[in-house]
Amino acid sequence: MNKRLFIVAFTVIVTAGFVAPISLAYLLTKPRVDLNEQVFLMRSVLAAAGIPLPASPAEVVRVFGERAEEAPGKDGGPAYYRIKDGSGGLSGYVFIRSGPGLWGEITAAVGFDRSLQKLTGVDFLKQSETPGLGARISEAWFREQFRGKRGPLAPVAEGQSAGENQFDAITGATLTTGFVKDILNVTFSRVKDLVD
Amino acid sequence: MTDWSTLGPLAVFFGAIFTNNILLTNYLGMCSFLSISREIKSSMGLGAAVVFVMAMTNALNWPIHYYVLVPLGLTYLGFIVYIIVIAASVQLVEMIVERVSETLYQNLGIFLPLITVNCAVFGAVLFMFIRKYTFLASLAYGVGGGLGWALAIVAMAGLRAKMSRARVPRGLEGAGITLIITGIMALAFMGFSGMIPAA
Amino acid sequence: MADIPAPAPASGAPARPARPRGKAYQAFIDGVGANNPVFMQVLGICSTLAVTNVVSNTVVMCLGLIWATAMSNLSVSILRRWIPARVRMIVETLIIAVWVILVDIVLRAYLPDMSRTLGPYVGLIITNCIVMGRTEAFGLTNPPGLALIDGISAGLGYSYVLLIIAVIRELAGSGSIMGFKVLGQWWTNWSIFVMPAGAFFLLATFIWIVKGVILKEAKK
Repeated sequence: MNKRLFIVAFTVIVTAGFVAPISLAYLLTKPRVDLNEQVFLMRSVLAAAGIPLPASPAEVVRVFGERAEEAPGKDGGPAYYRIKDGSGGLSGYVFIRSGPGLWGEITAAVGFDRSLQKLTGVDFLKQSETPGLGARISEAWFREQFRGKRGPLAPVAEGQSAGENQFDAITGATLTTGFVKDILNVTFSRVKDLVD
Repeated sequence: MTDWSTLGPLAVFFGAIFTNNILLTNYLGMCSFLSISREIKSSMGLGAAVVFVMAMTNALNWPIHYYVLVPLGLTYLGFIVYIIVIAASVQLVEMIVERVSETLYQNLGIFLPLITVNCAVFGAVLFMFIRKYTFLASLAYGVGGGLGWALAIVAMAGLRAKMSRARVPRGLEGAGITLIITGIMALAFMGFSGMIPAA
Repeated sequence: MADIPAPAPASGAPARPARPRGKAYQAFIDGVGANNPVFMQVLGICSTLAVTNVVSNTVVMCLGLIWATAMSNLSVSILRRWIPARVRMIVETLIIAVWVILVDIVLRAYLPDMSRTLGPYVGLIITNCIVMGRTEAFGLTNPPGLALIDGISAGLGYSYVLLIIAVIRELAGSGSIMGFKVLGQWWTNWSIFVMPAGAFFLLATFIWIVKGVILKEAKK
């Protein structure tokens, strides 16, 4: 009986003894982690709006405060961001859109100009595609190519896109490219319903 | 936001076996895979045990995470909780195996309790949260993931049995040749991707 | 690689009498060479294959693993006289889990992008056979100083194998190292190296070469 008691007591004490410091570490870093999450979202929204990204997180927060404004979704739909130009007038919109990917959900910030017909940029918030292949959608060259494109979009072989409706696919990542196309095209077709 | 995480559990199930095989695609569960795959019977036994454990731990960890850890803000302790649940499930499976088949129990030896630290089991738990599966999808993922792992290990055991009279270069004997075969299997399974759209 | 001297002597040995210094050195060489966890014991393969497609991920992973192995070995060694035999594995796993959670917390706070890229593989250090293997084989039966050295050296032994594989995979598969494009446009990416299959083949080749060298030495 004593032995059993010792085993249980030991395990509990060791667990408590170790869990206490990690709880401390967690609490100490929580504000920082939360800030990281926020800055990450802000950076994506700014990138999708075509606004050059400042280097420091503090600057990102400041620029976001000046240029972006969250707006509640139309008729209870998803919230979106109004983008303002330097003098406070409306210059565009950014929507957070999700869709299935090959391994998991792909979440993207999709930026439109005022006409809601041309893209100002695309940034990926979340994706778990195949590293080195599908995951390359986060690379700068892939994201940047969407500026100025119009829907509906069609992927073409890498390096061969011409015109506003075509974009370069990623060689070897046909499926992921297709999923990205779907997310963007759905957004194009529904964008008028998303804003007031 | 699209609520795609209502991806049919059936799609998740088949995905976990073929396109998303936890061993051939996510590289998890290799250690016991390399050692046990020498023998077909023990491979089947271990495979079955893993299916059980994965299904059980997914089924238990899902509600614990969403109904206990998240509301209390304790998700950072998640790893510890999941491992404890896995350990308990393995204990249970051990007892069952011992009752059902003494020989299998002896054959598997240390590898049965080692399921506790099998990266595939732990990985399956982590993936189900990362991919935000629903409860049913998580259960499907547990069973499917286990089956996928079992499929890989039994296939490997079969291949090694056939190969037992082949002349393998000495440097490749054991781990080396097994890894090469696994690589070829991984390539073959890649052919399945796209079979299930959005799995 | 038993007769290739370790790159750095164990000068990090704690203040202890002269006799253990020999043991410390032995423990160090062992982990990096003769008893290398990856290609000799064939452990810790899971993460070897998963993260080595990009060098920067590999570096972070290796640091995390060295930390986890060293600290777990140390903790288990300090507690070794009190750990009851029945719950041995659970206690070891708990201790390992704690050190890994620390790594995860630090990554999320200070390297959030890296944390996002590595995803579940940081948590999976807990089930990495190397960490558990060292605590079982060494931490339980050796004094803390030696255990720490053993942990670090096993981690280092793991790291250099992974880094070699990662450099090859990223170079051949994406033409870059650490994100910097090294190979120009003339290089067609060997995508297979970025995929699981390539990782399996590379590791097998590595083992083949190493075993070949060892077998040749044994024949002499």
